Amino acid sequence: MKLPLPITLIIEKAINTFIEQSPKMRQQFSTYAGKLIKIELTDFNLAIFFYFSNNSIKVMSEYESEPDTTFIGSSVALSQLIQQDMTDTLFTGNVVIQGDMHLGEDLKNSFSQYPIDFEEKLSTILGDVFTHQLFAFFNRTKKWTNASEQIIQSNISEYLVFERERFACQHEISSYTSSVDQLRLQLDRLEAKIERLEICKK
Amino acid sequence: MDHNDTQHTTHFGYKQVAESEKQSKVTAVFDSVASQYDLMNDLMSMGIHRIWKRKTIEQSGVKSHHKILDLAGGTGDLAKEFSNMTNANGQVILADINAAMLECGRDKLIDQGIISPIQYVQADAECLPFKDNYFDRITMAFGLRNVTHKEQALKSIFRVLKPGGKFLILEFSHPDNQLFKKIYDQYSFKLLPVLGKLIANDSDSYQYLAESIRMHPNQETLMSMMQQAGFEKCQYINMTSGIVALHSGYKF
Ligand SMILES: C[S@@+](CC[C@H](N)C(=O)[O-])C[C@H]1O[C@@H](n2cnc3c(N)ncnc32)[C@H](O)[C@@H]1O
Repeated sequence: MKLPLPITLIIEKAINTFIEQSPKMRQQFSTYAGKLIKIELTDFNLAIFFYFSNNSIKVMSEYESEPDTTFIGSSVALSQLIQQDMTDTLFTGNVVIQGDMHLGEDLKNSFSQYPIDFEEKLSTILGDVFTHQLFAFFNRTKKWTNASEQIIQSNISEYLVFERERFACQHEISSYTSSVDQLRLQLDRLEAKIERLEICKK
Repeated sequence: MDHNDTQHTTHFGYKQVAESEKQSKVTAVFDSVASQYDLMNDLMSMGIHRIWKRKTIEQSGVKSHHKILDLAGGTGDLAKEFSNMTNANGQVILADINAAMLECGRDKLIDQGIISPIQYVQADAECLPFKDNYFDRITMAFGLRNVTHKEQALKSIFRVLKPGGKFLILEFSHPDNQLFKKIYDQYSFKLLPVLGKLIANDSDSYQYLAESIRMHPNQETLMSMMQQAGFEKCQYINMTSGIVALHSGYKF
């Protein structure tokens, strides 16, 4: 599964806002400039890339380049990694690290110093209600698999990120997504009609 | 090539003009829109151009030591990101044919406190003033459709790209859905020039932009033009139902 772009952008904003608040942390992370880290969450079948640029971290669902270090494990095992001694976690085999091990260890130590509660951070930045809706929306989009649905999904995702203030409550989101479904069906029907008309014209 | 040869014509939007005239007309368009360019970009695409550009960055796979050319870079959205992603071993060059666009780009980046060393070069994509096999990555966002001799530009880009290097074109393309295409036509031919008039007091330039998008080769044609120029492993990704496509290819 791939995280939709708006969601990676929101995570990115949360992380960078967090880092900006601490000059010490900013300085520490700046030593990783240019490094690409990949995290594979096995339980979600999900990969996330982190590119440390000169003044921020870019969060991406894909990146066309070889990562410097890759962490592979379940979300639980990876969050344990931050809290525990690295050798313990690696020894039990719950987390696999590939690539530059030294960088991996270094990063782990940095993150252990500054544990980030993502849900809480996202909530402070975006507001509880929106964060909740975002995850609900995300869960729903997971179920959309076929190609035409994916197109609409990506259009909605693009729309969401810029219009997020407009979403007020769960109820509105549900009725919105169901009207999108309606629209999609109408669109399919219209397309079929246009096609038929064009055939008739010929 | 004889640039005074008015026998050869090319399209400028939907109009036919002498080949030698097209470049100056394109320059006039961008001279006219330069100062309002960023605002119009946001309005026209409803902000979505940022997502298209982000996708371009993901696909670029830029590394910190890369030498990167952002061609037809205009006001420098991509160059700015790349300069943040590279270190002292890397290099970012923003090249554009239009001095007014380059100047707006430079002013904007300085205003934003971007002091990383982006180099600004006024250059024509058709004859790039760089060494052979120099760049690791070349991007061209919303620029190619304005170029008079696209094949020539693609060859020139191929020449300056390093073997193993990647070239990416982000450009308006052809919607893959009939109904969407109709809505989009209405939007770009009716609403866009009005927006252009209201905001930039220049409906003609925006009319040109809408027309030039329709005259631009479709996804498959552009991909085969890239292959003709020598690029390999060419592919494209449609975004927003094909309103925009991101083409990429390698030189080996
Ligand atoms: C629509 S703007 C795109 C700017 C920027 N890349 C972006 O995505 O926002 C197109 C740019 O292409 C430039 N351009 C047009 N013809 C060109 C040529 N032959 N060589 C280089 N740049 C050219 C124009 O000056 C203009 O700045």
